[in-house]
Amino acid sequence: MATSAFHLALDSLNQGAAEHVRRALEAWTAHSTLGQVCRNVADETALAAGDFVGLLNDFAARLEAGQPFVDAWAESCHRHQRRGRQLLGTECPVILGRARGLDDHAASIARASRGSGDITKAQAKRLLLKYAGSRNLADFEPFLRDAPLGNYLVWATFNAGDTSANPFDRLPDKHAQIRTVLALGSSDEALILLAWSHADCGAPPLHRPTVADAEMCVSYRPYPAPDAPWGFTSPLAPNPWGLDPQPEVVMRQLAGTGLLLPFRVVRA
Amino acid sequence: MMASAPLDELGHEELRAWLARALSGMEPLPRLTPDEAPHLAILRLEKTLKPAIRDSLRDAHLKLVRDFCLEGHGEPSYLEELLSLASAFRDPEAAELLADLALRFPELAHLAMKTRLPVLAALVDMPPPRSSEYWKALLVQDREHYSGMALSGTLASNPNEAVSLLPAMPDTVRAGQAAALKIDLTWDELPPAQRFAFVDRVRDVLAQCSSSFRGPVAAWVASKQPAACGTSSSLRLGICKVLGDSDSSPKTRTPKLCSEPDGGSPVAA
Repeated sequence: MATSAFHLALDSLNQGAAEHVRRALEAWTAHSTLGQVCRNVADETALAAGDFVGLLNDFAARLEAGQPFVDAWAESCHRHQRRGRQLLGTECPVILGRARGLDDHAASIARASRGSGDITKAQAKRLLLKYAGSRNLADFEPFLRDAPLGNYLVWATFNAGDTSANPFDRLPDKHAQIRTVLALGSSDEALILLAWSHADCGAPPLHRPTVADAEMCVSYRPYPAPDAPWGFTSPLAPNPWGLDPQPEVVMRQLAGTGLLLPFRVVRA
Repeated sequence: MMASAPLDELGHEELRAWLARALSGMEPLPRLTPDEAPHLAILRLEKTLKPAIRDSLRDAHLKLVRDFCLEGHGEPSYLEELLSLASAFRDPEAAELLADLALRFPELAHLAMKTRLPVLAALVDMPPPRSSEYWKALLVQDREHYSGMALSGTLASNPNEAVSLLPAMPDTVRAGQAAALKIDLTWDELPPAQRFAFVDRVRDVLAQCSSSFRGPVAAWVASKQPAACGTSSSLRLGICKVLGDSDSSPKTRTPKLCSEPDGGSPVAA
């Protein structure tokens, strides 16, 4: 059996650092949430060897300095995000898409409007519901385009067979199916489906996701093939529809200047 | 420090510390997406807790709000999440604390605008609506920065009074667009019999509004004119007599029910 990337990285640490990492991960094993993070670290394949060693070394140094385990992991992850393989220019999809909570996007719109219109989160949510499915957003459009498509880090999918197509055009349109295929956390809350032109949003570098990008997210699973050009979602069990994993990339936070209209809102 | 203990095993102090850390993104939470704002995941978690733990969590939140309101200290990203959670919890005591804090802004020179505006936004979104007098008092503090929130707050409590604020709004297209959206949301909630009068009031103050601000609001007024009868008040009176106030009033225009301007079909969400 081949040695995992995690064990290779762990073996590269000095004995003290490796012991700190081992102890932290062992403490997490039985935890309902952190246990999955621990398994994800063990299964990681997308970080280059040097970056994996860097992540674990940073984590160990924070533990040695007395930081709580979770704080140390979160901060080490923040310093090692967007380190997965960067997609080449020719590999970058023309259109990207993501699903996120309706409330989360309303909060993004509200924050982006501060000092420039001051729309509140409750108002933004009502406007999103009012204009869902419409191509004519009138006065709402500039506020929608100013809002970031994610918080700090944007996760996105695309149609690998036709990267110019809106990925949601070929995905199922039911709430439960979207949650399953994109491996979203458990929730009956309304989702907003956003699709955008990568070029019109400034074409930020796209990266294959890693455990550092996922941080403490329990629905994330590392894609097992180390040489895959991008990540793939791991559809949630039991997946009665047999939905296939979808391509997955991460990028820095960006505003929705290149958003495609209409956007959609999907309820459970 | 070992892995986090279940919430029902934490004492009051520990629970408060947990909540402060969770709001800062330093606790594992049941997020919908990896980048979801922490307060939304905390709300999701709260729904799964036993009533007693849920009460303790809300008490812990109120204590954090109280601590913030004493001196106004805190990391902006943490405060943003704390205030968002306050809006969602809709705790009347938290609303009073924040309302009082906003009136004390002039005494808290260290409090940055990026913290003041989220406080005002939380107040707009939390019940009960503050009176128009309350928002006027805030406008006296800083008309330039607070006018957008004051308009929202006054629209929630007294839409007609709010219209009188329009001439003093910043002279930017974006402020006009935001005002048009807020007025439209208010119009949606008005009883049909009051809608004509509300539109008329907005139209009446347009001439006093600054030029860049006026455009989007004037466009909103124009969109509410009944196409069939133009603006003839005598014709409108006649229609009202025949149909009654309710049936003759303009109805909510929702893009999902109306044809697209380019002739495309409406798209269902």
